[in-house]
Amino acid sequence: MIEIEPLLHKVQKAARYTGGELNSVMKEAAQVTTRFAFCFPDVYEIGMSHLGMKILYHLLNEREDTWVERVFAPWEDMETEMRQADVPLFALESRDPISAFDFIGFTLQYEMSYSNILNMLELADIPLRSAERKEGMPFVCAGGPCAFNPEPLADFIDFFLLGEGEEIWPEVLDIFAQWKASKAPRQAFLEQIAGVQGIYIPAFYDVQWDEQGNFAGLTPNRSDVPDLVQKRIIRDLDRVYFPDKLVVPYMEIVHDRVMLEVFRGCIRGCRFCQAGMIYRPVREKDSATLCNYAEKLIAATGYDEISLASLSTSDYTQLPTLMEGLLSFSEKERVSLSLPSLRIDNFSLDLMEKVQKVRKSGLTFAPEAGTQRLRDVINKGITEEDLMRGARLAFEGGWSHIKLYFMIGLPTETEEDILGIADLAQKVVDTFYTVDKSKRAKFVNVTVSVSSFVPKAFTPFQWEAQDTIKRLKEKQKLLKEAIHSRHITYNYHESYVSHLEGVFARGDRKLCRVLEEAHKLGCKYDGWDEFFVYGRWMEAFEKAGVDPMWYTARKRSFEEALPWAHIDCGVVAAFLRRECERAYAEKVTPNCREVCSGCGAQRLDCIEWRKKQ
Amino acid sequence: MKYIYTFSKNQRVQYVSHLDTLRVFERAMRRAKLPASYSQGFHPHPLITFAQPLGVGISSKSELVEIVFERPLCAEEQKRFSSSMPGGFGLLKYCENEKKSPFAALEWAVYEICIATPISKKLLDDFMKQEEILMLKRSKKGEKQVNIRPMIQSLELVPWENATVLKAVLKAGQPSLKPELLLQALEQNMAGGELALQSICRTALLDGKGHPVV
Repeated sequence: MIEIEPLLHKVQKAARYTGGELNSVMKEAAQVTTRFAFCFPDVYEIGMSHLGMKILYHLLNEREDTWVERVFAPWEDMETEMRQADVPLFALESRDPISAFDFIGFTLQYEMSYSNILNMLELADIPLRSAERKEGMPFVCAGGPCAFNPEPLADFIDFFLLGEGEEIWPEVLDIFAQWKASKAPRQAFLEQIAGVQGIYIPAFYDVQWDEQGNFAGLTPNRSDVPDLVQKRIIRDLDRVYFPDKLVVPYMEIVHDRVMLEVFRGCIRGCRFCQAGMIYRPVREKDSATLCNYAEKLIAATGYDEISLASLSTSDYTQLPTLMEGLLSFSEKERVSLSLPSLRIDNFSLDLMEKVQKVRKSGLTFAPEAGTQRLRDVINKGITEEDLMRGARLAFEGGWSHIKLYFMIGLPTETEEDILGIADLAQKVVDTFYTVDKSKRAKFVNVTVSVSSFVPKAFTPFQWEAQDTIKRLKEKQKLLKEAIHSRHITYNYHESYVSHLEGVFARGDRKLCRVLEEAHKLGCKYDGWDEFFVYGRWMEAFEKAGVDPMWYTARKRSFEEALPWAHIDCGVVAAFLRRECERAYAEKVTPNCREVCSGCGAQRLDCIEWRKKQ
Repeated sequence: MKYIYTFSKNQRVQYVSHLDTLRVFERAMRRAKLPASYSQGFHPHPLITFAQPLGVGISSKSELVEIVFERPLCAEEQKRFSSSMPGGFGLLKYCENEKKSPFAALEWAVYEICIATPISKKLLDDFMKQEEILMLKRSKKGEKQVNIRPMIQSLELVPWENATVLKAVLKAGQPSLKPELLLQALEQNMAGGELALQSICRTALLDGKGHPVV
C-alpha cells in the first residue's frame, strides 16, 4: 500500500483517488492467485460511468482466485504530484502499485484515449512496448470497441480481447491460474491463450509492407494461431451474469444512476455507425429479468434514477411491458426513469409524459443529414415527415427545446445537403408556430449540433475518404451563414480532433511509433479541449516519418488490404461492400426485423435470422 | 418526525464534499427503505439539513444533521439506517427533535489540527495577543479583508506522539472561520515558516456558552 494522503491534500477532487466506495470489493492480496488492474484511460468521473467496467468488475470479483481493482488516469494536478513524490500508478482498492499485478487491462472506448494508455503505463513504471516486458511483469491487454482495429496499439498490448468480456475472461483466467502454478515462462501463457477464440496476440502476426512502405497485409508467424480472429459473444443474455450491486461513487460522475442494459446490437444498420455493426447480432434481455435487476440494484445502491441502456431504446420489443414493470415500483420508491435513444412517436411521448412528470427538458432527434437523399445514403431510416410529426407532437405536449444532431463530411455530400440542415432546423421552428397557442410553450429553441464524420473500420464507409480540416471548416461556415433564426442555436466541434480520430480509427501498426513520439511530447487527455494540442501531434507524425493524410484523405479501393481484415466481428466485408454500393445508389436497406440482409453475424447465432428460417 | 443524528466522517471520506455528503445520506436512506419526507415543488428532495458544512479534506467526530421522516422510526429502522451508511461514515447517536432546530445556536467549532512542524507556545501566545489579524477571506462575492482575531476563541497545544496537535476553537455559523485560514495567518507570523499540515479533525460543535449544540 502506497501512502497517498499527503498528495490528496494538494489536489482538486481528491475523492477521485481514495477508493472505499460502497460496494467496492476488498480482498486479501495474499489470498488470491490473480490480481487484475482494470484500467480506464480517462478520469474517474468518465470511467466510473462505463457500464462494461461495472459488469466485468463484479463478475470477475465473484471468483475467489481473482481480485479486480479499478485504475483511472490521474488528472493533471495529481499526475504532477505523483511524479514529484515518486508515487507510481496505484489501484483504488488496495492502493498497491499496479506494476506488481498480473494483468493490466485497458478498455478502449475511443481512439483519443490512446495517449493516456501510454502515459498510464509510464506512470505505472511498466515498459511501454510488449517486447520489452520481462518475466514477472504484468500482461498488458485491451478490449472494447476500438480493439476491433487493434493495430495502432499492437506494439504496446500483449493481447487483445475481441467481443464480450463476460464470455472470454473466465476462460483466460482459468488458463492463467494453471500457467502461474506451472511456473512456465511468460511466452508460454501467450501461447496457451492464443488458441482461445477472441484472443489476438499481435506479436504472433507479422505485417507485410509494400515497396513504398505502405500496409500490404498481415499474416500469422506461427502455425498454431488463426488467420482470422473471431469475436466472442454471449448467446443468452438472460442467463449471463449481470451484477446485482454497483459501486456507488462518493463524488458525482457523468452517468450517476443505475444503468439497465436492455439489449445488445442494433437492427438499424446506419452506414456510418461502427457500434451498429460490431455489436451484432441483436440479443434482448427479457423484461421480467430486467425488472428484477432494477429493483435489486436500487436496493443495493440507493440511486434515485434508472436509465435504459442500448443503441436504440425504441427497438426493444418488450418496451411496454418493461416500462409497466419499472413504473410500478419506481413511483413508490421515488425513482425516476430516463429513456435515451427513443424515436419520437405517440407511444414514446406518452412514455415520456409518464416518466418525466415534472420537468419537460429537451428532446433530441438525430436526423444526421440535411436532405432525404443523404439520409438514404447513410441508411438513416428517418424522413422529414417523421421528424416534423415528432416535433409537432413534442410541441403540442409542451416541450420547447429540441436538439438536432447532424454530421457533416458524409460521403457524397454536396452544398445542398449542408444547406438542408439549416432548412430542416427552420422547418422545426416553423412547426412550433403552427401549434395552437394554448398547447405550445411560450418560446422555442432548436439546437443544431454538428459533428464531423469519421470513417470507421467495419462500417460500409470504411473505404471512404475523410474530409480535410479545411473542407470541414468551409462547410461549417457555409452552414453558419445559412442559419438566420434567433430560435436556432448552432453548435459545432473543431475538426482537428476528428482528423486525428480518423487517422487512428483506420490506422495500422506504423502508428505505434507516432503514438510513442506523441507521448514523449506530452500528449494526453486528447479527448479534452483543454489538453489537446494539434501541433504537438503533427510534430509526432513528422518525427515518426508517417503521413497522417495517407490514412484519412484517400479513398481506398475495395481491393486494398485493410489493417483490420484479420479480425472477424461477425459482419463480413462482402456485406459492407454491398452496403457501400447501395449507399452510392441511394438505396435504403431494411432493418433486420423486416428482412435479413445476410450481414454475416448470423454465423454467431442471430435470433432475428433464426426467426426467419 | 424530526431526528437529529450525530455522525462521523473518517479520513478515507474526508474529501467527500458537502453536496456529495448530502447524496450519501439520501442514498443510505433509500437503501434502508426509510420513509423520508420530501419537500414540495417541482423538484422534491428529502428534508435533510446539516448544522454546518464541513470543509473538504477535514474529518469529523461530531457532525450534526437533521432529517425529517413521515413518521417515527422504530429501533430496527434506526439500526438499518446506521448499517446502510457507507464505509467511513458512522451514525454515532440520534435524538428526536420536536422543537425548532437547535442548529441556530451554533457559535463555535472545535478543530484538532495535526502538524508535523513544531510550534512554540510563545508563538501562539504572541499570535493571540494581537488585537487585529487581517486576512483575505474568499467568498462567492469575491475577496475581502477580514479581521479574524475575534473569530478565534482559543488556541492550545496538545502533546501527541511526535506531532504537534493544535486545538483551535473557531467561529462557526454565520460567518465562520475555516481552519485553513487560521493556519495561513499563523504561517504569516512565523519567520518564513511553512506549516506541514497532516490532518484536521472537527471534534465538537458548540453554542455560545461552550456547550455542545446537541
